[in-house]
Amino acid sequence: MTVSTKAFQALAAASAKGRGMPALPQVILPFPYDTLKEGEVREIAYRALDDAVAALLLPDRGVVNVPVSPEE
Amino acid sequence: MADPQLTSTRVSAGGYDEAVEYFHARGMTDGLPIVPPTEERVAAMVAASGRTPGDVLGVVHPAVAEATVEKVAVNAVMAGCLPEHMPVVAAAVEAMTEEEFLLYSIQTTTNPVGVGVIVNGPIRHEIGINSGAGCLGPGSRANASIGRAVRLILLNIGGAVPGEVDKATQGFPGKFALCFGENEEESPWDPLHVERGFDAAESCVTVIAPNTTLNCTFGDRLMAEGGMSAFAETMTAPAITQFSLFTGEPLVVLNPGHARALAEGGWSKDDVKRYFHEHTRLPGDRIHATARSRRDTRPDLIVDGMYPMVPTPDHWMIAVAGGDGGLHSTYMPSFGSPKSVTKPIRR
Repeated sequence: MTVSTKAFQALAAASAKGRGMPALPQVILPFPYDTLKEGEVREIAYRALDDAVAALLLPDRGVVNVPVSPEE
Repeated sequence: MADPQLTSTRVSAGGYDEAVEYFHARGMTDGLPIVPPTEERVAAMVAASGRTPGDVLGVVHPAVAEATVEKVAVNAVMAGCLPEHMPVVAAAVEAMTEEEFLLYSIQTTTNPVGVGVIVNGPIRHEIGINSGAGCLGPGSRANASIGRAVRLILLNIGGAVPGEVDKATQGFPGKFALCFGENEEESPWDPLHVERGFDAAESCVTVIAPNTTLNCTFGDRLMAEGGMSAFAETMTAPAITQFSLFTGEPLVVLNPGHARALAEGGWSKDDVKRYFHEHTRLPGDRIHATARSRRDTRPDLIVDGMYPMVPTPDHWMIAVAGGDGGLHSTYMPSFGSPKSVTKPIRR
């Protein structure tokens, strides 16, 4: 699996395809980060953790989008 | 006449306009009309390469696609190349797909970086590569079409679709086409390919990864006095990307008048590199924290709190090009960590 931000999702997919893994599961994080405080970045990372683990362990996870906040 | 050696998909078009629109509609151009890659044109381009259509010149990232001679020839035709340009395009592909050139990074970064091609040796005169007046601008078919062919190869074989895969925030005009010859005849020093171990009579390409071009102006005659200092000060800008990372190869393209004045003042090319290296330093508090931390890994290179742009004088590149108008030279800060690569042109 691979983790990228929304802005780089197409690039991640193209890179995976180029390396012969067109179905590589993706966990997509929000963008941008420059405007976030460190704590906010950590919150997003914690929220993405379960999806990242699931993408590693479970088949056919496809693309999972991680929201900016839990309410989204 | 069908050429059995060519394996690309054939598409029928009703005429020139329809063919051009076909490529536009599929995002296979740089935004400008292309020359339709007919079977006859592609076959002539392949023949001029001296290789077979299936020969692989390199693997182009991020698509991880093989740049066969046939696919390269298709893009060279589209770019407007003549068959005699093909050996230069082929050598440029071989060079830019070498691992140390870091093509994946160049193709996908938010930096504006393009791939530039410097041509050395006799082939410059044989195919009309401009190394003189206006060599970085319009007017030479060879410069324009070879540079453009490289861009189309990066797009169509490498998959660098702007905005999606090519993540350049703005890009720069040099990404359309950047190819020029070194003005060896007017240079007081060894040309770039000789500096890198090739014979002067051999023709070579060197691929570079410039982020932009910056004009530097100073009277030729005074170059050995105040000119070097003025150039160094102009290049020492904390927001220029050369300071973001710690490697890369900043290139200074001196016009022949500037180069001659320096040589007459006793400067060798290595002297020029050393001067720029020592006089483009910045104090730590003028460099972005991340960029500073990269340099902090090499405390031996920090002198009296002044941080160098690149680790050593040898990271600097000097070339001589341009006409006899004088006054103007060009600084090309490079992107990130790619190392320029020089390859002989096979004919």
